[in-house]
Amino acid sequence: MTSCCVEACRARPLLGTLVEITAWGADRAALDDAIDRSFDAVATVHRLMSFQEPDSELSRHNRGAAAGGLHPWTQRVLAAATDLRARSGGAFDAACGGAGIDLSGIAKGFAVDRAIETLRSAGVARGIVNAGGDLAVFGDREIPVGVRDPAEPGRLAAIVRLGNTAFASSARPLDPMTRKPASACSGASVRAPSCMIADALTKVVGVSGEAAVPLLREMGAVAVLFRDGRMVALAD
Amino acid sequence: MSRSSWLLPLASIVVAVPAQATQYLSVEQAQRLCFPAASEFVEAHIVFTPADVAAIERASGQKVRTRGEQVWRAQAGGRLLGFFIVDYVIGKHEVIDYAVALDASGKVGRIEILQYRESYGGEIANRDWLAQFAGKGGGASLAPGRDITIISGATLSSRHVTEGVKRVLAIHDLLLR
Repeated sequence: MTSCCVEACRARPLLGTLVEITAWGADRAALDDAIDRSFDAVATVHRLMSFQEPDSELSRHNRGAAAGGLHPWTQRVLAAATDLRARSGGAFDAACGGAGIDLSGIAKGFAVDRAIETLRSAGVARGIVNAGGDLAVFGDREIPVGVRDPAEPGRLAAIVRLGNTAFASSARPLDPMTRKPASACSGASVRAPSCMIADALTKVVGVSGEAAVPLLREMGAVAVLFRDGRMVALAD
Repeated sequence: MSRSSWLLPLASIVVAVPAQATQYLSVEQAQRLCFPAASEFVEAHIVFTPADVAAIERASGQKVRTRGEQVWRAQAGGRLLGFFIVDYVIGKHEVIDYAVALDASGKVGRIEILQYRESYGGEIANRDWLAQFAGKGGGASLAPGRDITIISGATLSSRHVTEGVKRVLAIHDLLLR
């Protein structure tokens, strides 16, 4: 690709993790500008949907103190969470006991999607957004991504090749019914068309295992489940 | 599973996550991004006295591990725009160098990661073994650290950086005002 020769890679602390954005394009200044705007989109999601920050829109909503209507992005993520709860039979659940709604199992993926959208609309040729393991890639080339062994993060368990898709990993998913680690499962990774869906489905796969296959197919997703020191591919 | 075109399992072979070392920005690049209007960055590095260390630790609740702090005054024609401060934090498996931009009143503007280094020790990147998968899904051979620079799983925490910024703010309040 003639218009694509310079690479810019930056990272900022956001969403409780280090968010890394890599972009390829014709000139560095334009890439830095696109990356800045992409980080801004992630920061907006953080500001709206952080469960930990008392001033986020979600926290105010949970306290019944959100003035006026919710931001369209918050509405979208809430709607997706409700939809996935129904589709997964409760294996994905953003309700957090008496503490209101916790979107941390889905908002990080949504933030990655918004960051990717921002890079694309800025005319970036190829990009990767990685929010601590929840990531998405777009562009003209497949990107090899190492997947950590969730039981032993110092080891790689697999390499996946990703092109124009999203991939999320979650270690020790909690069962929403028991609030304890889903039994026998040390982690799950999901490839899906959007990072929001991939992010949410890692929890479903962690809790439901093979029973998640119909939902994975429905959402155009495939998964890897780490269980008893083995890797199981689902819906592949 | 072995027929899968996108998933390459590395089961039964120990392949250590390569020591990750990513250089994101040089100090000069980060300075320009944080203060695009600055005409000069004037070095104003600080050397702590024992009393400074005690005061910073008391004010921030964070340990001071360095003997000083790297500070630049971002200026435009002699006017102070803010401070550019380089700090680092150490986690269980990682060292993170980062820059904090404070405006002239000491409010945090940007935080940019300059460099990230991670090691789990006992690094055995099995390049030969990985090389046999070269071309399996198209493309060149894969070497951890060289080609596989993106890693999914085991979320990195930004907690240490957040704590580091508290220390930087205390340094500003006590020594740069």
